[in-house]
Amino acid sequence: MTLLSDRRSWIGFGGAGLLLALYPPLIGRIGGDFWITLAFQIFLWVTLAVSWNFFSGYSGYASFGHGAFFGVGMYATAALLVRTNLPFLATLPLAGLAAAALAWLVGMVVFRLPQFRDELFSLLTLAMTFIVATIVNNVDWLDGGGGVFLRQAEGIGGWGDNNVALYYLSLVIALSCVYLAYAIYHSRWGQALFAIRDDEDVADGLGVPTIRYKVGTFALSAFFAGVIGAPQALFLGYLETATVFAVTTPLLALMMAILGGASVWYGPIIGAVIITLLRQLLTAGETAVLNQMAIGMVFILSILFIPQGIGGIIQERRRRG
Amino acid sequence: MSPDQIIFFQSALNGILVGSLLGIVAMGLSLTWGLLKIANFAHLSFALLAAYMAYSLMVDLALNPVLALLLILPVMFVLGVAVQWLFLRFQVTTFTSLLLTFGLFIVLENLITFIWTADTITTRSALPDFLRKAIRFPPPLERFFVLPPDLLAFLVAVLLAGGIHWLLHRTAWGRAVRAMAEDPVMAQAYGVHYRREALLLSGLVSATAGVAGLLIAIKMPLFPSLALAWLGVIVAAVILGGLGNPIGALVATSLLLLVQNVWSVRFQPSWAPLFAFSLFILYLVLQPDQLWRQWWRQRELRRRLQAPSPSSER
Repeated sequence: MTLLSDRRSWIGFGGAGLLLALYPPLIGRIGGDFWITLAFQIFLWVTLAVSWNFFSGYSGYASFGHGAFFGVGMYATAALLVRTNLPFLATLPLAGLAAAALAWLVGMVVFRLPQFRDELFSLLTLAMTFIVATIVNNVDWLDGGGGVFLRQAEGIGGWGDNNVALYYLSLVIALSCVYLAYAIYHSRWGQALFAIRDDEDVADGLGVPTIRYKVGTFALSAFFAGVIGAPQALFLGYLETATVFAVTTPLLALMMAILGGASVWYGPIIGAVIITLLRQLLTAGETAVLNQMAIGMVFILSILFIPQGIGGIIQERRRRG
Repeated sequence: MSPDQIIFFQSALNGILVGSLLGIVAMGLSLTWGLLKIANFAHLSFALLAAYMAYSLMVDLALNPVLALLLILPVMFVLGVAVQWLFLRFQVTTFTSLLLTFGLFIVLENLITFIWTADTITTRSALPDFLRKAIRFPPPLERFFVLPPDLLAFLVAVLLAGGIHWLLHRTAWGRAVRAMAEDPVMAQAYGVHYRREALLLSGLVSATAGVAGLLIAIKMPLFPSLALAWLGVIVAAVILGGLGNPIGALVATSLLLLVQNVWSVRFQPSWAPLFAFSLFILYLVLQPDQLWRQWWRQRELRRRLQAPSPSSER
């Protein structure tokens, strides 16, 4: 099936895009800024979870590096805005490329070595996150330990404090990310990744260029995490390494993908919406701690009782008729 | 000795001592990972939870540390058995256990925040005097000192590592557990009761987190994200020390913290984590232990081929 000529998928994605484009003038006008930021958060996490999934979920290489890629994107945008005169939109692709370059470098080494499968790959990407955080924390051009304020940067232009603009930007990024995940899922590329997940040695033996697929998809997945880092940097306005590179970020992306169903392209969207809503709607005052605990419990229970995720269940139902 | 040298050696010593405290935690992670194929990252949270329990027992109930430990150990043992029961019940793989225990990690961090609040707390006021006064070395080295909690942690760590090593290598139970780790099916065929030994081992390992917790409560101020702060060093040390090897885990943690401390004397402290993690990645990439094993095997082979066979010699 060639996707570009598939009318149904175009109607689906176009329709979803159009509906979501109408959201700010309708809901935002009535409900206020809270609903705009909530939607922004959802797009952000959808992008992170879906981009995590089209590499890690499809190929079975669970990465904890997504926090590093997301953070590299944020810091690339922040540094470029503060240190240079580049306009915000120009930093967007650069943020993505910086993250992709990091993933490509790591992938070129790691995917050639047979020892990095399963949990050792995860731990390696975790160690990579710590290393990146240490470097950012020590290089003055990026951070240097004091954090970065970027509200005053010249290049921001009309983007500062403009949540509706950030809404549309993150909508475009999230939609392209989801479309890519959908396209990969239905193509030879996706088949190759699934083959790697099911049995890499067999896939290799049958002539699947596994290293090329792994490195390429890993870099692309990092690219999206980096790009979505750009609007997040603007939204936060202040970055510090301890929060930007927190271990909870990759963990949340992973949780969303698994809860939603890592083997289906739309699974992580479901997970991202559920967990972001849980986090945003209930995070108020006293309940914040209990809420975090609930998220952890949901994650544990979903791994134990529905390891295939919500998306996996939906798919089974549909298959049965 | 110049003041610079004194600072250098003192910080190296402190690194080894603090490293041995974290080494007790690393040992536990290494044991379940190597022997039961369970990467239980919540083991770090267990140690922190035990530390908070020790705080409550010592400060709020004014119990002495030994009594506190006696109350904590059974609780931790049951916790360890319960977690392993869950893993066995759902037949989780190593990778799934890693995900699950990260979830548990989050739950426990927030549970601790919920019960004890996010404020930093310390048991200092409840400690007996002899635990608070620094001990100076005898004359030629009188300018060096150790803190009693550090020394205690070091001794306990060495005893535990040695004791566990002895248990694993010199007793029938240890042989059974190691056989089980090597090949569960074969071990069961030879009469090893997998389920029972796995539950027992997990309980005992979790009890060592109780010991570590008490020492941590005596040694340092507590806050809920402390376990997260240890994560990097401990995971690196567990891998570097060899999975399932308590002495290796202890030595690796001590060495990592020694190098980090010494590094911080000479260079910017904020660069220190880079060293541990780069070493960790380099080790995983190069796998020196595999190279060494290969080289050793080839040497043995060559020697056997060259030398006349042992039977003809005699």
